[in-house]
Amino acid sequence: MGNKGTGERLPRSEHELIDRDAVIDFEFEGRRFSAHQGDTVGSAVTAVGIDILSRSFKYHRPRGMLCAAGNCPNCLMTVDGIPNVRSCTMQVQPGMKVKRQNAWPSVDFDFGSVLDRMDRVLPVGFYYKAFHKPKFLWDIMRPIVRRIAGLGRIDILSDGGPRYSHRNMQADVAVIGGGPAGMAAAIEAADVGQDVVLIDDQQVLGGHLLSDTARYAGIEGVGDGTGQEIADSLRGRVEAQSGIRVLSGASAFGYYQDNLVGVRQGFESIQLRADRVVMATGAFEVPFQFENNDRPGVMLASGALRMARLYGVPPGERAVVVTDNDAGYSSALNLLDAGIEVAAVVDLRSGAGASDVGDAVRDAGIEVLTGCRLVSASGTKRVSRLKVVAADSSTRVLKCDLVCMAGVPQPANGLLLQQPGVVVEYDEQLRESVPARLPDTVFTAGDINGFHDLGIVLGQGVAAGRKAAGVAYDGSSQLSALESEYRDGLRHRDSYSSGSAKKEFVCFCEDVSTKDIGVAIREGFGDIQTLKRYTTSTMGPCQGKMCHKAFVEATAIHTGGTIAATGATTARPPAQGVPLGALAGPGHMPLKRTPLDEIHRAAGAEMVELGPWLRAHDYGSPQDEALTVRERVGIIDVSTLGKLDVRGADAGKLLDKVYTHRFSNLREGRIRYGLLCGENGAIMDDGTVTRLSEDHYFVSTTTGNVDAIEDWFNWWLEGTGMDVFVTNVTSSYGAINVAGPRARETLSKLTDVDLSSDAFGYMRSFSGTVAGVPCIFLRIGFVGETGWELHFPSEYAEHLWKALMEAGAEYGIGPFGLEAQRILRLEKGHIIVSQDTDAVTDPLDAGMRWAVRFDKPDFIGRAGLAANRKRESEEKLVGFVMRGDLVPEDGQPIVENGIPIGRVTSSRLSPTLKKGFGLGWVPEKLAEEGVEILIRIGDKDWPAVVATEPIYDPEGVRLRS
Amino acid sequence: MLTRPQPDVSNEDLTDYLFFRENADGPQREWWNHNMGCRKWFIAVRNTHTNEVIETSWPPDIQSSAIQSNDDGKSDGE
Repeated sequence: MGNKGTGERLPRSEHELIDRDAVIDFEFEGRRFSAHQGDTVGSAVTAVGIDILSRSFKYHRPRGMLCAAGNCPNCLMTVDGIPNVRSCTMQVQPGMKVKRQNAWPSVDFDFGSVLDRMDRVLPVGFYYKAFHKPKFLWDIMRPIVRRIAGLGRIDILSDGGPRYSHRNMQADVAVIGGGPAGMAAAIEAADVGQDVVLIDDQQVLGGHLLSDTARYAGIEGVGDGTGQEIADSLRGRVEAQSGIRVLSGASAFGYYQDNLVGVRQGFESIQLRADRVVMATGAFEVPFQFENNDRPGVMLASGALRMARLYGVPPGERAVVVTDNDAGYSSALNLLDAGIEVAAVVDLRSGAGASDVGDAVRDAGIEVLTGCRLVSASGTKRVSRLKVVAADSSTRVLKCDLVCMAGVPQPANGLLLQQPGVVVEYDEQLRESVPARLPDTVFTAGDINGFHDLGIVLGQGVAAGRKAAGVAYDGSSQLSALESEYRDGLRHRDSYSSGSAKKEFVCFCEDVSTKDIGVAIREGFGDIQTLKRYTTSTMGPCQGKMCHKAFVEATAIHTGGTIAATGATTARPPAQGVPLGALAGPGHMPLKRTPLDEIHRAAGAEMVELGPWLRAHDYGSPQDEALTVRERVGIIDVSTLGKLDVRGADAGKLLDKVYTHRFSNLREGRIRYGLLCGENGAIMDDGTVTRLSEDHYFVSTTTGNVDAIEDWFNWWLEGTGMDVFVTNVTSSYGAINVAGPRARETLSKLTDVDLSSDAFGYMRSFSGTVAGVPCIFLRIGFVGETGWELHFPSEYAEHLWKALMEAGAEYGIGPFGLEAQRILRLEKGHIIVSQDTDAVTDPLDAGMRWAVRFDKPDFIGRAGLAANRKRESEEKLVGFVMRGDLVPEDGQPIVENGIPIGRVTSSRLSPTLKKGFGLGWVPEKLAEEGVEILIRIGDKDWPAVVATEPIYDPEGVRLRS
Repeated sequence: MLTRPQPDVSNEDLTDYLFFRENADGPQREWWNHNMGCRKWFIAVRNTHTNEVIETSWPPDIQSSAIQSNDDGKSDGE
């Protein structure tokens, strides 16, 4: 099949959205196709005769264009590798690659169509019932069923397309829906000074008016003209009006509490917060029920008209219009005017069949049949005939290749219903579910309210715009009069189809027929909520837009209830499909770098993310780096440590309250280990507390936890009247730890502070300068060697590091990273909170009873710990050393007779022992020196020995020297 | 908003304090923190049913007048 160009189009029209003079090429299933600028993928392929756009979910039935507005599943295709794209709204771009889905070997000739004939073994809910006896059968069938299910396929090798950018917007009034009601509301609100955002999912504002050629006269506020002309005029006024930001091609998928709207526009994800929202999302036609109502060529009348009027694509050659309201007659005339032959109008209502517009239809030579019942459509790949039973019970077979279903439009309230406080009720007179109660800041206007009359729609738009803007609206009585007149003029069908045909589809997305609904109800799923879940009706891509009405009607008929009593399914976001990429957070997360970041990179460090920080994991060999510290001297960047400056007359009192240890009696220049517990006694964080002066303490916390600890301190201060100020100085201070047997010699070269062990003992603190930089010296020993942690203004970090490296060069100094530090601290049995402890670990189980001062009057966690003290510990944290050569991973289970009884929390290869070792939780009875335990690595159990003392320098001699 | 347990609290009372909440349907006094802004703590009375915030205030002095707990209306000093 050669390139057919852009196909045979209807005569050029002033209001079409395509530019006939611009042609774009794209690729469709490997073939070169052409389109006009402004065409959608759906209109372009339909124009060249592609009738079958996809295969249905379960039965692989051929499906064609149905709504042409993005409300149904029929046109889903894979575009540029992205599956399930609505081709009827996706504008063609040059070079686009499109292919159809859910068929093999091709959509036109699909082996899957055999499933259509297997409906007897694939009834509703078959995966609960079929292929389960004997049991092994389901193990075979499940993967097959999974493979067949689904529509598009994700190409896991593709890069997933462009990243979504994210934007926040605020507005006084958000108007959702750019049809006549929305435009009127936006103009009105902006005119009285409101900041308005108008969101519309079509290419051009106008809504259903874009394809409306009917003439309107005498409507207040707009001049006489066709629907299209009125749309032009309103659009012009929106553009001329200041204060309206228009988002076109923007799909509002979520409507969250306090008027937060989630919008997707192209590759942008927008969060819009508005003080007030006007919901003007309109209404849409839905399919009628008859056998084979899903055949290609059976379309919504509005869909056929969109194809014809917006894109100049003939939806068919010979149409039959089926309707149950007067508007169907206008649609018939519209089609005729567009150049499509209309063979007949089939009115499902008894009686004369509309008044003025009915006469116009007859005058145009179109046969009108009233009081009809729909039987079936026939045709293999496309509809060719429609069978109906007329009022006189005669059967008529109408030859046509296009059936236009012009039913009463259903309000598009899926988005509205997501907002808490919105109540929608079934209106018996209108035969639609319309808003009954709305929150104060939410307004509705137009077809969503159930009135499908342009005069009323525009009036409601004006009313909503003014009310949303908080100004008076004085047209209420006129509007009410129009609405009453409209209600009185309605004429509905006598009854609904009590269909039981097996290929009469209620849910197009999931291939659920009216027969399936009947069967499911007989099986006991009589409540609409369970019925929905069992049949999966309304759970597909269209989320009930096309099927909710038929679903509720079928349920009411089969249960013998009323529509109002049957209820409705629950609307949840997203109202329209939205890719996960749009919902995922912004592509970049703020990362914090230490002041030594560039130095680490220059030294060849492997950088790693630790919470929000980027840290040096190692400089090539963690084992060597650890040995450097043990044998010579090493330096590590610990700038990420949380640091809090706590000062005031009651500083000590605060620390006594939040820590388990006592700090008010800490002498000046001394450091004490601090353990923070929650009220339940579980360890929250640990660190060191240094008393700098009478009412000044310097507190350190674990990296990444400082913000939470700062909040914790401030919370417990509230209302106490204590004189304390807590300041987060984490970024203000850089910190470097110098550790090793040669650390003293190295540091002494750069400072006047007396570092000898007599003058400067373990757990003491002094202030002084190092290489000219003012520092707080803390002599602590996380890694178990003689060492000092220096805290200094972070601007001096690079200078200080270089000075240290230079000073230590003769002693063989080297930098050590996070990994080496972990190995070193593990050799000393020092815990890392949340690595070796979990959410319920308390200091007693973790072997830190010494850190808890029960003789303090009160502290956070005291009651919890006192209670824990009374009961027996079930598990204890102990060290272990492997007997063999293997090194377990963190988290490996400790087993007894093949059953897990504990777990390894930290494990490494010791550079000093040359054996695997670590910390782990074991039952109390095994928590003794020398006891043998088994650790599961892979699928075997390996022996290890419990060590209750650190494996390196248990007496802490090196630490204190 | 609850009152902290005394050191001699019973196991039942401690468990209640740690793990059980009234789950009131209606106005509830709560601690809030302006996390993304000034990081100050404050009190809000929020209707848990409608999510409407009825009133906000700075935390009360514990030393001075009584703190009402939302469920039983008992006043507690410290």
